[in-house]
Amino acid sequence: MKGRFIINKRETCVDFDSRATLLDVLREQGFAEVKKGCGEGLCGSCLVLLGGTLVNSCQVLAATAQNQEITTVQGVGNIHSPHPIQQAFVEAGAVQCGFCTPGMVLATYALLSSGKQPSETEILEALDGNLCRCTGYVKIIDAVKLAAQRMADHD
Amino acid sequence: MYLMRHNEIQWFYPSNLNDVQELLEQPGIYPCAGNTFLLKAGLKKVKGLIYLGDLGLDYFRSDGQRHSVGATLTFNGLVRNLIRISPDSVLIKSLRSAATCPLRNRITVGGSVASFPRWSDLMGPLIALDASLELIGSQQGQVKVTDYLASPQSRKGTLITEINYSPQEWQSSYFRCGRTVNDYSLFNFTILWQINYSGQLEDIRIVLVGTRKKFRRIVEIEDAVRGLPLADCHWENLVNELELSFNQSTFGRANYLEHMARCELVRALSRIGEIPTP
Repeated sequence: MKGRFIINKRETCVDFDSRATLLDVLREQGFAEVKKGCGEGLCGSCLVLLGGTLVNSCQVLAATAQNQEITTVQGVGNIHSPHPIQQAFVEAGAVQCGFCTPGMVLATYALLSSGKQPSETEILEALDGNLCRCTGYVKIIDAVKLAAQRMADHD
Repeated sequence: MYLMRHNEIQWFYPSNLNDVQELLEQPGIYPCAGNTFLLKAGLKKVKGLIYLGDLGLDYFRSDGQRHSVGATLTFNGLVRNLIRISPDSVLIKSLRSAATCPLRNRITVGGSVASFPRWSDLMGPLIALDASLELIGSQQGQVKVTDYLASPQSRKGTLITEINYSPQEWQSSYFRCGRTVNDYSLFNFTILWQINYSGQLEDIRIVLVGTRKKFRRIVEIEDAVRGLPLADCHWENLVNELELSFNQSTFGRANYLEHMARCELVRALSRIGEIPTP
């Protein structure tokens, strides 16, 4: 089937399988930053923002995501122009192998978009769908707090 | 290219419920909103899917007499709405502990009722709150959640459009037993209660989900303690006299789950008096 997707603010028409997940479509279109992990919605490596809402792209049938804004981590910031959240992850040492990082950054972005300073419980709740097998999470939580602080200062 | 799969799925994007009703009559065509359960169950037998996202069923309304929840409202959507008007709601306690944040952004209330997996964090509170469903399709109108679950006929060829329940204030507790925080619950239970000014248990509802028959409303205990002063409620004896049966599973032996359920029920019931009445 054919569908129209708006990925990182760019509109694109895609030919895709009627059973394909959004993850399939995004990777087929070259968005390699959306990682394929567990395929069951448990690890968070395939997270994207769909209409501004954080979702596991492996758990979204692509046909239901047509005509909606899809944001991958590249849409938040890139190496030339990193978002304060990405900068905070680097500075806090929250990146090791990097496989979970796009999902972590997007989960943080979704959390901090509300504009309020999150408590530690709120951070844990917002990141409860992201698994990291390297860092032990401590530095990731530090990075979220640092990003929240910087974004508040910036406002 | 994608792997060759069986047959193509035909997608339908209705903009009103009348169109949905016609589509529901066709075999092999199913409603789809959050699609999380569909993906888990597999799409082998699916010929067509009706996308419900354009129907505007993702609302929450409260008119003082009842709370009405649109079927495609997500778990996180419902929590966000309830926090404003009913921050102690048992639904907040239960749905916040379900799945993970991105999945809670996707799992819909209606889909969760229609599929009712054994690990559901939604159904215990809904049964305890005596919720009703609005249906369209082969069966129309309002039906109680418990009747809907008891009758396979009401589930076939129907679509849940709305979930209603009374906004009556209950004190509540919710317990979820799982191997890890993000794992499916092995069992969970919901307790709602009201204590009057003389310290008597005016009303109580207890629902255990995850048993052999999926859920169990524990009316034996409810009837035994209703109207009693809290000090006269001998929870341990009452729970030990209960007949509980669980399925054997890879997550835990049936007798282990039964033992765990009894222990946690006694603990939760014993804490009823400790939580101050507002």
